[in-house]
Amino acid sequence: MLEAEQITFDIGSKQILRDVSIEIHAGEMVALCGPNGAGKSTLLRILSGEQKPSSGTVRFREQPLDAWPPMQLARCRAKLSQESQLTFGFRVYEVIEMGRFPHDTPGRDPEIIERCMRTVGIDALRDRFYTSLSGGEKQRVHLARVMAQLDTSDGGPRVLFLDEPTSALDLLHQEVALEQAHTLCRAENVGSVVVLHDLNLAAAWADRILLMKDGEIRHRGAPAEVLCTEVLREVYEIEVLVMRHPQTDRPIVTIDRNAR
Amino acid sequence: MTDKRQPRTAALFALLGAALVAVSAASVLLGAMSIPFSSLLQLVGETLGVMPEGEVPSGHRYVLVHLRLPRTIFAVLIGGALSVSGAMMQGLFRNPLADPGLLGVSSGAALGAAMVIVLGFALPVYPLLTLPLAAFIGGVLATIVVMRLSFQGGRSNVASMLLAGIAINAVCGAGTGLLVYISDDEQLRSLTFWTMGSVGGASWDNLPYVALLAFGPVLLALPLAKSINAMLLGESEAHLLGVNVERLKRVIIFYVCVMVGTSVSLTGMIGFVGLVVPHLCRLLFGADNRRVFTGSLLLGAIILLSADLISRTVVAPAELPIGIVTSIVGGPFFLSLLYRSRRGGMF
Amino acid sequence: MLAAFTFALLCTAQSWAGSIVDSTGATVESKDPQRVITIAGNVSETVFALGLGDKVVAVDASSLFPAKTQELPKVGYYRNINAEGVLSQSPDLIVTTDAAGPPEVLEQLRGSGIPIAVLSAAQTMEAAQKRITQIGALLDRTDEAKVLTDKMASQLAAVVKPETPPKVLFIYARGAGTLNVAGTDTSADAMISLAGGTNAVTGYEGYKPMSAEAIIEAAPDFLLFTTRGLESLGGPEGVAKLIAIEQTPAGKKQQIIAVDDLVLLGFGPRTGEGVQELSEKLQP
Repeated sequence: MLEAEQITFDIGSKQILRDVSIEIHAGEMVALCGPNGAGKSTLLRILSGEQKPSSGTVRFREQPLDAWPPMQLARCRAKLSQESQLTFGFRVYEVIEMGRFPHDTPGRDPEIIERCMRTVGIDALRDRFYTSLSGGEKQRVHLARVMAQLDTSDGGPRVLFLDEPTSALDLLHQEVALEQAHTLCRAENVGSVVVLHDLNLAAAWADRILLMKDGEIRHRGAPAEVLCTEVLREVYEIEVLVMRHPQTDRPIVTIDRNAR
Repeated sequence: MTDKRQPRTAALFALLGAALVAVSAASVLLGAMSIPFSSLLQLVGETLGVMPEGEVPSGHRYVLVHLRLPRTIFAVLIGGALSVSGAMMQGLFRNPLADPGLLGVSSGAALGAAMVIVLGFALPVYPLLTLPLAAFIGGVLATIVVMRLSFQGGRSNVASMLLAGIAINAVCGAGTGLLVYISDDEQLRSLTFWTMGSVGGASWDNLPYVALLAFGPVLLALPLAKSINAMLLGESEAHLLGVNVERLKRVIIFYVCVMVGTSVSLTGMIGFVGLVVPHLCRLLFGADNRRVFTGSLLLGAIILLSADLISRTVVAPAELPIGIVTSIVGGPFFLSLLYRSRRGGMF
Repeated sequence: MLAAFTFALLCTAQSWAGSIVDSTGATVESKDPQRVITIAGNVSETVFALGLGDKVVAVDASSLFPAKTQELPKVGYYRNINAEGVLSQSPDLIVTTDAAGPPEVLEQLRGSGIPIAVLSAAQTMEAAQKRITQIGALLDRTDEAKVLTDKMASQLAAVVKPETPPKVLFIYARGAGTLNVAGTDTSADAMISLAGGTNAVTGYEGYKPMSAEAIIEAAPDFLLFTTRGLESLGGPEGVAKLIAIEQTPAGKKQQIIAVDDLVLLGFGPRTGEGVQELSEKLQP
């Protein structure tokens, strides 16, 4: 559904991304992991069309991103950024309503907005000023906003990008956020790419994990394939222990205290 | 718009609309010359063809038809244009303290006006148009320079636009200062009065320009409110929502330049309105630009009209510069609103 | 009753009309004006000097002489008049100069159909005399105007100029913070030469702030102020304390003089007196 071919990105003489190719399928959740400065956020910006690559192409539904009319693209591609610059006193409802900007469906909007607020558990904040919310509440508001943006009646292929969606969230809301994104993937056939620092969250929710380092994808595969001590030592330069979750059998990663 | 607060918003808009009608009526009825209501009634009746030609002293007729009526319409259009352009700038810069002056348009216009006042040149056929034209050209040129400096490779950078605006304001300010230096006493007084603004130059001759150039863009800007809302999330976010950000920025700058350039060239500098009216509207209606724009249009008209009414009645038969009135009356009012809303979480 | 009626009829029949071509080239006709608004200090002064002060219904803020003008409604400073304010005084003649504005408002006043005479604002003796003659023609006081202009001419002729023209520096002061010095092409410059002095400053036009050094360099023999300007500095003693003044010949010889503001700078009917007074004060 979304294919990136041989993406490179340079700033001056510094190569941020080198020859990255990936493919995202409808209905799957892909986690993008790796140490700081690996190029995860840049890759996400290129996949979402915010940034043009220095070379290579990104195709969405067989069509290069450049060729998409912006409005049409916005109806089936959304992104939750790390931080928002919103400093004006909008009500929470109004912020989520902005997600409906590319759609011309005033009749359906209120119902969609209310549903998205309930989904991420912020319906009680409905009439609060966005500027008065905590960091975590703000993040959830934006999650509801991008969910509202992707709500289409035709159910066609869509893609969702999440850049560290859990960074400001507590344990419960980390779980809720990823669960909702996951549900969206499965139930509505939305493909998603999530930048995550927490390997355990990636292990718990992602269908595939891409491990990046120095502008390249070093390893890719199902969580159980990628999350092993050798790979993580190479990518993160730290010794870890990998265990199994007693209920799901998915990997759990923790630091090897003896090795330090 | 949330359903819960919709009735309140509708009531507020109705109230503003009613206030605008009331202040407009007062603006036509009141002034230095005391004109009985019967004269006005007779005039209206005649115009509508429901009353036979009757006795209206010609002085009354002239003041009502050629001075007060165009002046009232003029103030409504300019007030709306200045306020909405302020709201647009605040959206463009994502800063509630932005005003049209940041584009250099006011200081460029001031430089143009100062050149005409001090150097005293005049267009051969339309001497009266010289000053407005020079001010307009000055404002537009200053904005073009700011644009040139802040656009690189087809993309603009709001931060460098801000810096370029500050630099252009300094350069134009220095030019104006130089002209002030070489001006004589009387030119200096004219210049000073010009910088304090007046809508006293209103006439049926210049109203079409105001309607077209200052107020036309207001109507064209109203549908942009949703895109400007999206811009407040950040340029990237707006782009992701399908907004053509570069195009929107150019359109905003073009509209504001034409609106404010036209206003300033015909009224001189009327500060405060463009900054404060959108603020007041945000206190009344919340941050959503769809309501802020419409509210600014109405409230800006009401405030400028009221200020003009005060400016031409308190020291009648003389006239107080309108910029002084907007600041004296509006400043403390605004401060009190800010003080009361401090705890509301809006700022 | 009948007699009164006849008298009124007679008056109407003999109703007088005057006409001039003003500085804009427009022909202005006045028909026995009874309510005159004068917008310019020297114009107001002239109308009062012609004995028609009781016909003036409003003046501008720069009309300060004679004292009676202070009892009249003010239509604002002459550079910033407003049309309705002027019209609200129901004038049947408006007399002003081409220094008045803003131009849009003059246009609005013309549009009202009330005769408006825009005289030259030039600050020369000839222009002052022409203003008086034109105002006389508009107000049916031709003879009285001639008396005034003749008197000005004879006053001017009677001026005894100092043998060697002293260098005079005119300082326009409003408190010690604002000291503007008259260059060329100013009313002060014109008055100084009429009174037989030379302007100590020839390097620029108009009124400008001047540095202490430049004032010493100009080496004026006299420091000239307006009366109010000198008061605002605390009289001659105050002036003596100003930096640089004591270094000038004028400061050393304590030749600090003042003439009434409007007499000195107004170029109205008292200009002749002003020149006389100034030339007397310039005698060594």
